[in-house]
Amino acid sequence: MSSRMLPNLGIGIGLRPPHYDDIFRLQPNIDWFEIISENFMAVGGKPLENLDRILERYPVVQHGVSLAIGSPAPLNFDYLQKLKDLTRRTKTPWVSDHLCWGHLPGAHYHDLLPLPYTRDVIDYVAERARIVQDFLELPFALENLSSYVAFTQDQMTEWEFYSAVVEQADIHMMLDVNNIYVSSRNHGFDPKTYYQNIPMERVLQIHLAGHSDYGDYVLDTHDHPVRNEVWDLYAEIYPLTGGVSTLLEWDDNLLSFEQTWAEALKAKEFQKGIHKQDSLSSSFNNVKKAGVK
Amino acid sequence: MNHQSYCQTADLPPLHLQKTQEWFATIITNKMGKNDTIQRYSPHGTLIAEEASKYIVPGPKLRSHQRMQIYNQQYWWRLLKNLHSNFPLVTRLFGTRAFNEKIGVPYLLHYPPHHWSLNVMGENMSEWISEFYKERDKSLVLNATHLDRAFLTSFIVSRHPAPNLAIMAKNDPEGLLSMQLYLQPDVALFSWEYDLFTFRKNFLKQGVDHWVEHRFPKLPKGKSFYFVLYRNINNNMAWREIKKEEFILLERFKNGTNIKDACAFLEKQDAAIYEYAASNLQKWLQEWTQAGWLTSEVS
Repeated sequence: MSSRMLPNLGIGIGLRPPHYDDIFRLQPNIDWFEIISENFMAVGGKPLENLDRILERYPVVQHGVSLAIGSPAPLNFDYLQKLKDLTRRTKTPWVSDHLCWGHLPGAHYHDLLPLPYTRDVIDYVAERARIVQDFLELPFALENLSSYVAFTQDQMTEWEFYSAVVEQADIHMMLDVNNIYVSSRNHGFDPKTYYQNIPMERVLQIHLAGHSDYGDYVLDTHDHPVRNEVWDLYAEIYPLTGGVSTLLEWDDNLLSFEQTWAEALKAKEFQKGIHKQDSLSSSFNNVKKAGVK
Repeated sequence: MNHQSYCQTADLPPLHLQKTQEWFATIITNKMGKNDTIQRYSPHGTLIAEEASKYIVPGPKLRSHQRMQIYNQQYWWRLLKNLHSNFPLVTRLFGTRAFNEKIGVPYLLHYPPHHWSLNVMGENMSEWISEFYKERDKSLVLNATHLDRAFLTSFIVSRHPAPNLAIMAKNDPEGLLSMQLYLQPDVALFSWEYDLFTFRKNFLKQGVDHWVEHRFPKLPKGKSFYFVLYRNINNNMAWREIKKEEFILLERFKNGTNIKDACAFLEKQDAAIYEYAASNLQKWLQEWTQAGWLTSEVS
């Protein structure tokens, strides 16, 4: 299933409550917003009123954080029905969540936890992803994680695992470029190898975000501007996708709406290849100097 | 395909995956050690450095258990941050560090999250404080917990349709009198010996740790206070102080009653309450209707 038939919505930002006043007042000419689905599921009141006001003017895409598709518990169809109900309201062109696990029967960890990269886990997750897409009746994409561990059971690389899941399930990729960079630093791989070995035609959307560099490891914090190394990766990846919707995520130490939007709009310059920088190679040199293989 | 047939086709998880996830969950939910580092011993009683290396390969710079520490920290920090957000007054009463130690961590150990929605995480906080919090300021902390929780609930809850009482009064007055009415789910009632609403408003003007170093704002006291919290016609959070008589009557609608029974209830109250409430009942019903506080549907 190619993502090339899906619309390129342009450049968007994550919809966050502190920005509502500015958005309603300024009515900015922004291409689209991404919402965290769970913030609008099983709620009414002010959150839904705000969403409806946004929907009057802007395309909205749903991105989830709680599906936890690789969890050992059965798929939660009550959750999925609420997700589907929301898609009817938002008219989202696709739905995405993460290639992760996050709950056990009776417990929810509210984190995007990594999976072991094994053949039988691919089978398990791909089957569930196929069901989710079928049930939602919309294109469904899984996002690559920022990860901080690798398992002794692993039989393959992350990009082999990710590619196999989406191809076997016949779903799409929500490619987080910052996550590729963060994981490359934490695991010591070349991000170029990652994106050169995934089925780019399945990428339906790109995420960009900032991270925090603690020296010994890099954390996906969504509280900084996008680093130059990540912009450079984006500039290399974007043309390979054929041009897909791009979104800036910013979740902590929030900037004003206008500053966030300005940060997102930088993506346009990298799409045109204007911001030619050499920071990717210099970053690799720094990583090598720091002893990362 | 219906839900059941989907469930039948979904495979069971590989056993090694399930075992790894169970181990992973045990480690990340374990209480953090000194300076938010991972505990030296796992909950299974073995050195975490040895145990983690069976499941996790070392990274370029971090050993296996150091890598797990990142998830251990993220789990606790994320959940505590959510509690800070859902209980802004309670958090400020303590400051971040004391809140985490005295309330947040023990609460989450007792009631670990079980639902995908972060809004559900604090649903048992009042019960936990009632049962386990033993300090002298328990009453204030408990009332602050009720109030914070009510603000969250009122903000996100869906309203039921509101009957048009004015039209009913015109077309079917007898039906109106016997119609069972309830408070909308966004409406909450409070009675205290102090004005916690004003106190909360002043408290929330400052950052979470401001009050650790400063005198608390004055807690207005000296009489019994009655309040109603609700969403106004613009769907914004609002509250107002009400009379004791109005509070008593609204409490009847909380559990559901009709106007006829409400009047009968008033007749049993002492003379002062009865006279005041009876002379204001019509006006109150109009105000409550305009504010959309009443519904004929059970929550």
